[in-house]
Amino acid sequence: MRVKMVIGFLAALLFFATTVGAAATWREDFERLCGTTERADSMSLEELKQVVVEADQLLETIEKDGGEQKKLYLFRLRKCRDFFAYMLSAKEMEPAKE
Amino acid sequence: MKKKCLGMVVLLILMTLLVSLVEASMDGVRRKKQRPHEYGNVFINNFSEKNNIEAVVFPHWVHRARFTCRVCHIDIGFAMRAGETKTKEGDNLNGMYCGTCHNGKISFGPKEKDFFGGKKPNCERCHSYNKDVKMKNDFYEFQKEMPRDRFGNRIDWLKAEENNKVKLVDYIEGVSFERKPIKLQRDFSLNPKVVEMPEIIFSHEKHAKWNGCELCHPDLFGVKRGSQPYSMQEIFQGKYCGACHDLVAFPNIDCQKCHTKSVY
Amino acid sequence: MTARRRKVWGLAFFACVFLFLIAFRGTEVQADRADFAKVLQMMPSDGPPERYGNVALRNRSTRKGMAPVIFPHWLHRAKYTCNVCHVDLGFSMAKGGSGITRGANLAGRFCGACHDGKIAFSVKYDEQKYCDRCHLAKVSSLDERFKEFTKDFPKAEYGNKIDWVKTLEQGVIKPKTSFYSEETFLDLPANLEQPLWLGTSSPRSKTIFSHKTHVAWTDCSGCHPEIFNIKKKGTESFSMDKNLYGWFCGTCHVRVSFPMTDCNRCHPNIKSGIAGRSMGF
Repeated sequence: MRVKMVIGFLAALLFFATTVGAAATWREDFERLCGTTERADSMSLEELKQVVVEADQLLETIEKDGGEQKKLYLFRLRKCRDFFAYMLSAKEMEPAKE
Repeated sequence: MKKKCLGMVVLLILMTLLVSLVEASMDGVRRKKQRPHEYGNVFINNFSEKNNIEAVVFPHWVHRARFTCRVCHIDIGFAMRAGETKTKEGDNLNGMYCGTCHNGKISFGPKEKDFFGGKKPNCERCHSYNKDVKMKNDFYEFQKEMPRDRFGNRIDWLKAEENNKVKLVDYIEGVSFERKPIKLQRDFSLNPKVVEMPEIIFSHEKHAKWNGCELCHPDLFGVKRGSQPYSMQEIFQGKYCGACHDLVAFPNIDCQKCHTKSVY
Repeated sequence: MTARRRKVWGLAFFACVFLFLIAFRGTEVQADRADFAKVLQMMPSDGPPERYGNVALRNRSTRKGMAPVIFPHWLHRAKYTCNVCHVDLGFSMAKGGSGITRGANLAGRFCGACHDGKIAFSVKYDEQKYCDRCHLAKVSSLDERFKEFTKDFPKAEYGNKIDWVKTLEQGVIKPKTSFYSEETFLDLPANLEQPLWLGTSSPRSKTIFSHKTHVAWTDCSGCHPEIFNIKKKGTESFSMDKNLYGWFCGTCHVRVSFPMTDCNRCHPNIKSGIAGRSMGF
């Protein structure tokens, strides 16, 4: 009985650890994606496309797992995602490199 | 059938009234100017009055003397228009929005120490609309030290930073990212639609230093430079440059700040 | 369609046309010329020249038991252009709109910016109190200085009876253009250096407007875009009624700048003799 309780407790701990870990990872992803907007001018088209795709996926994650600060991070992520999308379309419209 | 005709006549009368009201626009008179200490004040009333407390009067000048625009409008997540952020008391108490700094540590919190060592609520430091609340920061004392300007707050904020009269913080622990400086952009000129006015020399560097990139692109400026001309009318109505210039940054009537390069 | 229906629709159509006409014309009441003349005779411009442009500031003074401040524009405009006070120092053009308090004056704002004992007599209680230089119970002491002050200024027929434009152009006065000496102003675009003809409701009353003479006193922001919207809608709607009421040109040219009784200054094609006689002058 006690063994079952201990196993149950450890399983619960592991479960929560993964969810907490998930929360920790979306913040890291957010920082990785949006912490470098100043580089946008020197990024290639592929890099920009990749960032936009990842940002869209992250939006869904935050929508689900955002917690109390969901509203804030969705706002920040949308701002940064839209900026990269804008840089992408601006670069696509450029005829050649200046 | 008669009802239809009557209906049409009524509709036409209403349309006429509407059009004539629009015709009687406010052109022709000077509007009441905001005083230097009031310029940049934003009134926020999403939930205050509904909860029987005065609306919030947010003074931009106190905050822009300490922080860059980006810290609040990107990192802390405030929208660019009053009432769009929809901050609640709960958000503030959870350390979001105003509560990021107004937590008793970086700046005053919702309760402050009273004479007896206890804590009393100081709601009216912010919820001060129509209340005669003396601000702890005296605007005119502050303005005395600052380089002058002709409009707005009557303070040349750009020069104030250059001369180290104000030191702007661009990073808040736990909220902002460490950012590298943006690659220097050359100034470029924008040709005015009305040919007689001097060209506009726009400095990306001056703007990006305080705003970063995402604040303007793409929400305020979503199109490639030169692809879509915009008019002063739109700017006066708060679009494009007018999102900041006329509300917080130097107002649009300071023509020569932008129209600097003589075409002649 | 039956005949009856046609009649009703026809009536409705004319009713709508009639209403449209009223709506668009009805916002402007065209004054009868005799009534117009009466209004002009009542205007402050017809008073004594030494009093023209004087503004009585009585909001807070009378509440504190002081005589109201009588501010003479004629004395100040000879030393400073409109910009200095109305832009640099933040004075409003509407009475009561500035928010002048004694505290503000003592702190060096508003009147206190110049009336500090150095540029002009001080607002402070020093060895000598100058309260009654501004808080005038009797305006005659101010009126008496007018003649001497303006004796060399080129004359005009209305208002202060001084041609301020000529006074400035001939260098009789050299008003400072900015309170802060580092100011430089936007050059007038070359195509605006020549006077412009501005249309009115009648071709005979066409107006001549010179940017140059205005820019000598104020800069772009003084008029644009609040008073004169830069969206070119034309000037035909700037009726005299609106002007006399204080809109458009009437913002200044009713109480401070040369008054509208001086018709020919703007309407050179109206024979002022004829206009004057029919107006009852």
